[in-house]
Amino acid sequence: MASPYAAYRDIIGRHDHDLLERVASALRDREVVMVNSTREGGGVAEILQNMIPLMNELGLKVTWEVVEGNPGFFACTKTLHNALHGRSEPLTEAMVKAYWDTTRANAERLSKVLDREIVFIHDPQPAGLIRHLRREGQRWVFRCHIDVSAPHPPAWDFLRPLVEAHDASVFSHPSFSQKLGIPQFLIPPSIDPLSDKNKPLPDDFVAKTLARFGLDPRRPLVTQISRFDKLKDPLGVIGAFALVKKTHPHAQLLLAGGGATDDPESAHILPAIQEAASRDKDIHVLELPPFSDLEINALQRGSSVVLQKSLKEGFALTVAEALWKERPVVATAVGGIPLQVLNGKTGWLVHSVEGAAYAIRRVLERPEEAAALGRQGREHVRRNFLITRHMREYLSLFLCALHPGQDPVELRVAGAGEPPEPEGGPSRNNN
Amino acid sequence: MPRPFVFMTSIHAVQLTGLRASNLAELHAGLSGADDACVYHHTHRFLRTLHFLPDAPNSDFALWVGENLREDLLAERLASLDLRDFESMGELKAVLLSMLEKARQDDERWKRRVPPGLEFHFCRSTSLVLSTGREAAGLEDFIAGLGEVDAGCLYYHLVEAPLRRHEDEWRGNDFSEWLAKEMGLEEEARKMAELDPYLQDLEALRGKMLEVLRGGHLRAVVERVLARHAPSETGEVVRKLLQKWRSS
Repeated sequence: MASPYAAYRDIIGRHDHDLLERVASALRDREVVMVNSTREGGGVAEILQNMIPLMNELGLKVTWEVVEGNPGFFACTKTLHNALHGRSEPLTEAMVKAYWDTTRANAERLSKVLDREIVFIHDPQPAGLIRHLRREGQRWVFRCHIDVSAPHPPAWDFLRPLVEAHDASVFSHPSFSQKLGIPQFLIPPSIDPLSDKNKPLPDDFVAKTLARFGLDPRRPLVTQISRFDKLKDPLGVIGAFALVKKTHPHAQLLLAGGGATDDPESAHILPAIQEAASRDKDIHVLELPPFSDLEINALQRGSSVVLQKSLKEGFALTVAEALWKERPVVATAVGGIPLQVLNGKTGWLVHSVEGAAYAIRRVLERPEEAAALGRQGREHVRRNFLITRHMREYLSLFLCALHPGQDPVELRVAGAGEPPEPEGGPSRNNN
Repeated sequence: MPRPFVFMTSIHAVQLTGLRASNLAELHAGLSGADDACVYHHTHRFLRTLHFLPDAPNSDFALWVGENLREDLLAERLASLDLRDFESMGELKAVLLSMLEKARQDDERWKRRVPPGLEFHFCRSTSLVLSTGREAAGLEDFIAGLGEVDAGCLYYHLVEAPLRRHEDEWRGNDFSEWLAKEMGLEEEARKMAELDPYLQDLEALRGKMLEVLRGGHLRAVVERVLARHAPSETGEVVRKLLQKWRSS
């Protein structure tokens, strides 16, 4: 059986595959420990589950630890999470005490395993460990997976000194960050092309999945996949579709996503969507249960246009998923979407209901142009938003952390052709 | 013995500076304080990451001014700079600033803000340079290598490494430098140096470079044949034909 890393070779190509191996060889036998708050559930755990075995296969020595906590600790970190997203939720003294009590207990438990050269902390839950465990010669990196662009000030006052105690930080999008006294790296998230949500599917499976949900595979299908939240503007999607139907009466609309949400403002949106959808039999509202990755994959592949008409967004990896499947994408220019949708090149960026309707009609009317956008979108994702790129940027980050202040960093890698000596070669830096 | 050509490549770690701009005034202020790595990032990242796209944007500054501020004229000017004209990022920065400054006279235009969420974020790139594992001792190896290395290697030798050299050093690219200094192929080196890496995608450039070199390679073979054989009557005819071809 081929190794897990070898399975990516046909997707990313020999050059990128070899390049990643060579970059990793500059970190051979370096010890890294990842620390987060859970081994299962959520995007961070999913990325670590996939990425750590690949890094180890490439010669690094990467381990994974999780912080443990009681309900008081997780109540604190949940409040902290919400407040960092901007909600005015107070951090009480009792919460802060619970945070530090639990951090101290975790520090005692993990003191012998957090002695690696690079300690990679994911999100605020383990951020306090540095106060107890930092040792001479270590590099501590804080990876922020959440948007802290407009935090509730007391929450940021709590977290900021902990972040700045690290040697470097990482954010997913420029707008998610704050001005900090340590280097901040930009590393967008990624999709895994071999996962159930993105792997190739047989055409008949796609057609059967569409039919199973009452959709006609022979008619145009406009799809938005996202949780039912007013920030995803589902009513705006329905409004745009109504305009599209004037010229494309056979078109269908699918709004598919998770039904449950802990946002009280959004809890009322589903009945409003269903009410609006009830006026047109071609509008389908589908509540998908957890673990519906294969179904989502098939629905995206079976769509004529994938829409992401959000009013506010995080990174919006659903866009990368659709682009990877060569689907024409129409999306609003918010959050991480403009990094993925390059207007007129890998999809269409829009700002309004009318703009979305026009772009959808254009895609339906110009299938050749839409196919070209789809091909370029897939290539853009292949080069810039797959897990292998994500891993290469983590390795680059480790190397920068080990060579602070150097630019360029000249890497010693296995095999022939070491970097040139300072007197000769083409790579001298005069900056 | 000629020095071998080492095919290098580079990857980049992107850093956020935490600085943002919402209008031309803030873009100007942020750019004024930006270092070379920041100017380099925003004027070269598309060339590195989107070279496969036809008509890809070429400058973050131009893209943001055009798409978000809707300043089409200024955006076009910013995008139209020939980056080969600049010997340093400092020079390029000065010209970008002077272009922005022309909008300062119109206070409303200078301070008009983009909607929240569409701000410009100043970033910078740190380069990590490594060998591809491939070297060329002579022209044949060099041609074979040029045909096979990845686009990142072409970018490194055509754009990045030349940018990092001192002003009084060679003004071409790494490929042309090696051809001239180590192989003595001045004519081919000149043609390689004239190629514009900012206006063609890297694969198209690869094709053009190979075209130049294959002609040069044939010439080198002819030179070797002529040097090895004494003239004879038949040889003289061949010699004349070859010389005629060589000078064509």
